[in-house]
Amino acid sequence: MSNPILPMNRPFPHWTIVLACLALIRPVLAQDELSQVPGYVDFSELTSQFGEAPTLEVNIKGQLLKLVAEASRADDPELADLLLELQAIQVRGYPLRRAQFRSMERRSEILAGQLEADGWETVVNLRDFGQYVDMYVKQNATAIEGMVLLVLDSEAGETVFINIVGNIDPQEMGRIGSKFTTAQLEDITP
Amino acid sequence: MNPIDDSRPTDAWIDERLEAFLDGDLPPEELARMERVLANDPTWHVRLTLATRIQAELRASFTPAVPAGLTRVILSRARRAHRAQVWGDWWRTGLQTFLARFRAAWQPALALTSIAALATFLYLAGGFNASRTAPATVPDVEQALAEVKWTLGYISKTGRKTGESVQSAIGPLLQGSPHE
Repeated sequence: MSNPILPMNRPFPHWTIVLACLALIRPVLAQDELSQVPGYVDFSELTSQFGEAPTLEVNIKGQLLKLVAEASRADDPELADLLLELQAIQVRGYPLRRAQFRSMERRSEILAGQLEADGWETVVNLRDFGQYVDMYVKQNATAIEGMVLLVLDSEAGETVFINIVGNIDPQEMGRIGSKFTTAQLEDITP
Repeated sequence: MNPIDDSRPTDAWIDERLEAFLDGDLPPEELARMERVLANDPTWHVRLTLATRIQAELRASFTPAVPAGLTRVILSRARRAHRAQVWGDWWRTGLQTFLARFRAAWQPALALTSIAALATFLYLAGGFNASRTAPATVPDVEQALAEVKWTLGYISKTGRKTGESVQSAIGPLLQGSPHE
């Protein structure tokens, strides 16, 4: 009895197996390509360092970031242009109880040390009562390739890590960001 | 022509063929050689006569018959062994035929199963974010836009608060400077 789909005498085309495997591996390789970008920081170890899952997580990159840029063009062309210069936006937020502030501070200092060892330059180190703010940038000869913001705020009860990857103009980013009010922030924060 | 045929064969050669000569089983050329030897060699003629007498007495002696029961048992076991061999050959042949016939279907099925297992492993291992690799829907984009605005707003707010903290920290220092 012959198989109408796969004739018995024809071997299964092995190249289809190779192509199927490549199709599966391609998304993994895409993630690996981003990890090779100098301004990228791998936040995957934060969960193990903090011992709990983030309460806030943002991962916007690749095609989605481009779609967001175009979606914002009608209302905010400046925001669209800024987003088209970026490759990824990552955010991790963890709850912060007052009793945890010191331990969270030590963990953040470990991360800060790793960034400095990887060539990130310190922009801001703020240590105030109940406040811990570090900002780092990764620069090449001509532009800023990435930015990391580490914030511990015992008053707000939150720990936030932000990584922006891409061609960044900090002043422009601050200016455009100032347009987004507290009401919009409250819509998204837990 | 073999020159050895013309020469007298060795005693060992004759001895090996003596019984076959008596049974009439020698090929023609060896039979001719044996007859020449036996006709011309008195010693071997005597030995041939003795061998002939011994053979006649053996043939005339009592030949034991195999018990009928033993015959039946041996034949039964022989038939059973034959049947087992036939069945065994049938199974082996059938299995080989089955495997050969369906190998064309098994190979792609096994390959597809392997691919599915690999895909499941990659997904469970977090090798790629399935929710993001799927085509983004309008709600996905709207949500992502809100997240982007929140992030930029948070960065801006943090910058302002940091600037205020720095101002409040160095303000008194500046007020106390000589040029003031």
